[in-house]
Amino acid sequence: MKKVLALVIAMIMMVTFIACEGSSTKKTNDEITIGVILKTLSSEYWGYVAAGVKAAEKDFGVKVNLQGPASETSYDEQNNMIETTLSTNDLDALVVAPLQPESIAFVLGNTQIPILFVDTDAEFSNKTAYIGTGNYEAAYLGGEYAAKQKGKGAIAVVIAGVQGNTNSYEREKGYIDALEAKGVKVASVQYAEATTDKATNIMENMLTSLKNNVDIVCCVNDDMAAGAANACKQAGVEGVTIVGFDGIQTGVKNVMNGVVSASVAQSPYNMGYQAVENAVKAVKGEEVEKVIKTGVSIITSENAKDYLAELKSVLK
Amino acid sequence: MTNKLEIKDILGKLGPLLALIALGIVLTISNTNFLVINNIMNILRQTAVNGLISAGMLVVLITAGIDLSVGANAILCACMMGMMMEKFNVSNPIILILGCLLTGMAVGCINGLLLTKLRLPHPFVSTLGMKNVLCGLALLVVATKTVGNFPSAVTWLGSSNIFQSTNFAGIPVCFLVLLVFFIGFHLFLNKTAFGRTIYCVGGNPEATRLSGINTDHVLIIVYSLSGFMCAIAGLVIVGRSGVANPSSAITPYDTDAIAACIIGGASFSGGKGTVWGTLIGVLIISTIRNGLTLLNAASDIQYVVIGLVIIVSAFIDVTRSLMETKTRRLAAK
Repeated sequence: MKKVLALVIAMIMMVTFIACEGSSTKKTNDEITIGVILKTLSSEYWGYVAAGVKAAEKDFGVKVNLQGPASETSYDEQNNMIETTLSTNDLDALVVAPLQPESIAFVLGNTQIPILFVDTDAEFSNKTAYIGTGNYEAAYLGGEYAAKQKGKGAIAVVIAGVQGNTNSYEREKGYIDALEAKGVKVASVQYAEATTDKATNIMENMLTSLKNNVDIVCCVNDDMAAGAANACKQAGVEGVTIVGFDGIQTGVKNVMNGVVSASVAQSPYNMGYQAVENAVKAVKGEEVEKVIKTGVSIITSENAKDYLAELKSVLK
Repeated sequence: MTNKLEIKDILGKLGPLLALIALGIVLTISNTNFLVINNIMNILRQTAVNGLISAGMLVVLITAGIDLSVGANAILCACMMGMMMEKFNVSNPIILILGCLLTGMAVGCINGLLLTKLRLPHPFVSTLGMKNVLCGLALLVVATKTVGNFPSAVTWLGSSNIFQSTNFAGIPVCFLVLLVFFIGFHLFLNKTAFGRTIYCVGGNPEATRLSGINTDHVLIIVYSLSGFMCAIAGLVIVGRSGVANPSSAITPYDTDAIAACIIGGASFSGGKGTVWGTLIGVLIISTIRNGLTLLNAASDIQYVVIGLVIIVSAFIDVTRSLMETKTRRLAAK
């Protein structure tokens, strides 16, 4: 009877294989293969990075193996992906957006091929380059923007993502440092696990405990900013400066509609594109800059429309 | 008639193994990088953590229980070592490893006590509660920071390989340890009186109790054993990644382990399941993950494939036992 199981699994794998064949890249004359392992492929932000990677793959005519774990907390899964990809014979360079920067050197070991980090930097002795902005610096700019809106003596709260996650921690720290440097009091920091509904609950609770006395809300992603905005609206609290992070389409639309005040955008498309571009350079032995800044922009009602158009054109 | 039944029986036992072999053949044909010795070693390496947790989960499933706290427990054990290093400056690997093992066993023991002494309705409740408690504790003990720089004796289990050479990545020690544990579990479950008692508790707890066996006692030991296996898994996690990351406590280690046991023939109604079936189960899961990574499939496809494998293998198992009862009834007539 379990013979059937074998058959079924074989069939599933066949179907999967055919499905993958459709989406994988055409073999080019160029012999270069670049592995790209992002933090995940199942979120809009990483979709822009992936779009940049794919555009570069096409422009430079190289072969790219693009992968990402199921979520931004799938630490083991990403480590497994790195291991599996490194053991393939035809790999020329690896681009990683490390979920766990502290452990990346341990996982990479004494790999000899060029290693490039994208979005999040990490310590690694053989590192070829880092392409990105740094979450801390980007959040710092967002915090400065918010502080400028409300001035000295304002009261701020920060809604962070998953407690203990490096990414979320750096953004949280960037916000807090900038706000405090500008004389804004950070009354509370809470964690909403990166989801809208939890951010709404948390914002409701913070409004209650602070007696609606909140001027600034800084969130480490756009979804949570939308959640915080819901809570403020329902509590009838107006004029709060709400700052999101990532600059994904819904976030930018919320800025256009005035639901949130601003979003910190890190130009993910450029990160993906430049990561592959520089990986190709490194494989060919050309010189690559150690740190490549991809820039940050604060999306406000002034530039939101243009940015949205840019995002839409990229995903085509 | 009896002869035919035996063949069926053997096929039933070999089913998951045949599935694994078929999976291997398909992946070998579809990707040239699959059947490479270093990749096979990768699969073994990636099997270790889930395998260790699954061994404990199997014993719990045999008693018709469930342990949802396994992943959080493993991460807490890792974080306890991190705390001992950071806060108390302990650098002696023996003390660190002992602390890790004791934490895991204590948590397992609490799971057992909650179930038997507090009379919580189902282990689902007690272990679900503990899962959340442990996630929080993991963050608490290391103050939400990821801890690295463990002594090499602590990371040895998860990071070392034997027979390593320039072209060969080596056989991962963590998988060899996994095999040793599986042999131990096999002997324990099949050759000792206590092991058979565990099957009895799962098959019919009331009858077991009436025949003079202290079922509470058995359950507490079973959950402690599961906790102990989580501690070993935690040790391997630290060795594999080099760090103890408290926020990874929410990683679904529990569902992966349950899936492996179910693919290997265990059942939620208890009294069933073998160590070797579970080993094949964990290998099938990590082979699918590894193969799909090589094929460049995104996580959407991975979720679907693993989900279907669980459903199909449970369905085949149910159909087989239905047919068995039918044959038995026919034979009795």
